[in-house]
Amino acid sequence: MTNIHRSIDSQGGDPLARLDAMGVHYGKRQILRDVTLSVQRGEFTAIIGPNGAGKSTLLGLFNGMTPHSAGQAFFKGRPVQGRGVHAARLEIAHVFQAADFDHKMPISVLESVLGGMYGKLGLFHRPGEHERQIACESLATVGLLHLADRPIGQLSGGECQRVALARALAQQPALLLLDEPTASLDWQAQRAILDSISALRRCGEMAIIMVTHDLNAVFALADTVIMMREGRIFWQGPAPEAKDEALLSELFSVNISLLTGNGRTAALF
Amino acid sequence: MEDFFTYTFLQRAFLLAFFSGTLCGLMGVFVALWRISLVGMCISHAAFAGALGGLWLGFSPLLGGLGASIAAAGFAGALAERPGFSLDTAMGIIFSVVMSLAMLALGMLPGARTEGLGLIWGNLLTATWTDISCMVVVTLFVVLFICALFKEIQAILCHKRAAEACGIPIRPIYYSTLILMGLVVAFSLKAVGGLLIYSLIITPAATALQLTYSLRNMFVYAALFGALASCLGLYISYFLDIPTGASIVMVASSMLMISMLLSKKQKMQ
Repeated sequence: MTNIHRSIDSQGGDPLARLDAMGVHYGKRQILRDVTLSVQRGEFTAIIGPNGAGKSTLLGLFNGMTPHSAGQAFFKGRPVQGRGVHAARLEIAHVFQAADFDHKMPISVLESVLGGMYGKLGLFHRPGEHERQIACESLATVGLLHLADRPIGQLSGGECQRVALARALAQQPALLLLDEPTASLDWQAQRAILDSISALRRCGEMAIIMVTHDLNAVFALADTVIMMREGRIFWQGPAPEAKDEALLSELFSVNISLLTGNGRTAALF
Repeated sequence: MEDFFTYTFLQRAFLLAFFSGTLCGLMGVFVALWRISLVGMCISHAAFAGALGGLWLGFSPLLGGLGASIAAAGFAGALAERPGFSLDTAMGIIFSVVMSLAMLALGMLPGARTEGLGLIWGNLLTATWTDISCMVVVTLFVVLFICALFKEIQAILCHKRAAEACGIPIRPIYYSTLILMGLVVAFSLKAVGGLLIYSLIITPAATALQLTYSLRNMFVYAALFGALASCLGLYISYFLDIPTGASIVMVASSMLMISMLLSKKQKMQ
């Protein structure tokens, strides 16, 4: 396997988040090894790679959701360990892969979005009008304000995923982690999610790290691409340089062709 | 009805039934929405085994029940958290073990085993003012817990991992809930008995879930249905001269069936 590992630290400035030589073991099995990367403020990073490469595991290193066995994560220069884990989680929002809700779940869409702020609000403090306003603005960003009072269990898979995105936005994070936000959704729902993410991309200082299998979304949205394979970083660099048929074919072990038209690049396999 | 309340022992039984039903109903909301019914079943039967063990070894059944249920809460709760662990199998084994221990303790009891049999079926008519005072304290404690941590409970019920990722301390809340359940079960054994108590935990909550999309209402309804089933079950058992625990569970189950027939949620499914 060719391991093309190129540093992107030359972008300058203190990174918002950094993983330093990190490794993860589940029992005796090594899931991630020697992962070193950094994310700048406002940067959109896409993580791609075949199934089982350790992409979702890597995402959890930033906020301490993945227990690690080697190295150290840093957020705003502080180690993500001990009390640093809680401090990091208040400023890092994490959108997980789509979850099924019981259709009888007695929680509304608005209540679900408000939940994103409860970590910052702290124990024994009730959400007030200010928090409701932020939650409504987050719902408006993902185009679901009209469903604010609907029970969460009555939404489609795509709508649930957009609510998860709104919950993350309500947290007003410095770093947004997206774990396959369009997985198992139909084309229309995927488009709606990607439009919402694209809207976030254009505004603010928030950095975004997205794990995805959708190469077309990577080419459309990302500044930086990290390619994972067999628990290691296989390649990392600027998104335009990731548009390399040989590189992508080697990553996924399948022949991939790239087509360009109307200013967009699409992958075929 | 007037005859019923002229006896002091029946007044005490009625009060104990009321508080047991209220408490079990409240705890059932966690079991139903957190989907920890197997964990709940293990904790409740561990309390039963602990109480019988206490009788056998010559110390208070209440202390035995408390110790066993809290130990089971810690053990089963930790198992339930392990990723990739077959919870069904583990809980099935733990359930069999605690029931075997209960039967062993019952078999080893000397004499007529009246008190031991009372722990199986429940014996409200032997309720003392001390039992009722303990129940009032536990009820206040549980209500305070739910009110103080309502927003965190709501966020965890909605999406446990998202709640953890945004900085909500889910582990202390999760284990406090399991320990509270152990407390409630241990104190309620006298009312319903070890074999049937789990039904009084889960059935009123399941009934409430049919009727509301509000978590706040669900807690209120579950407490009301639990209290109503317990008091009505006691009243019916007195007049028909049937075992109280069985009567309470039959009333609770009838309420669930009626609510399913009337539920708009069922019709929407």
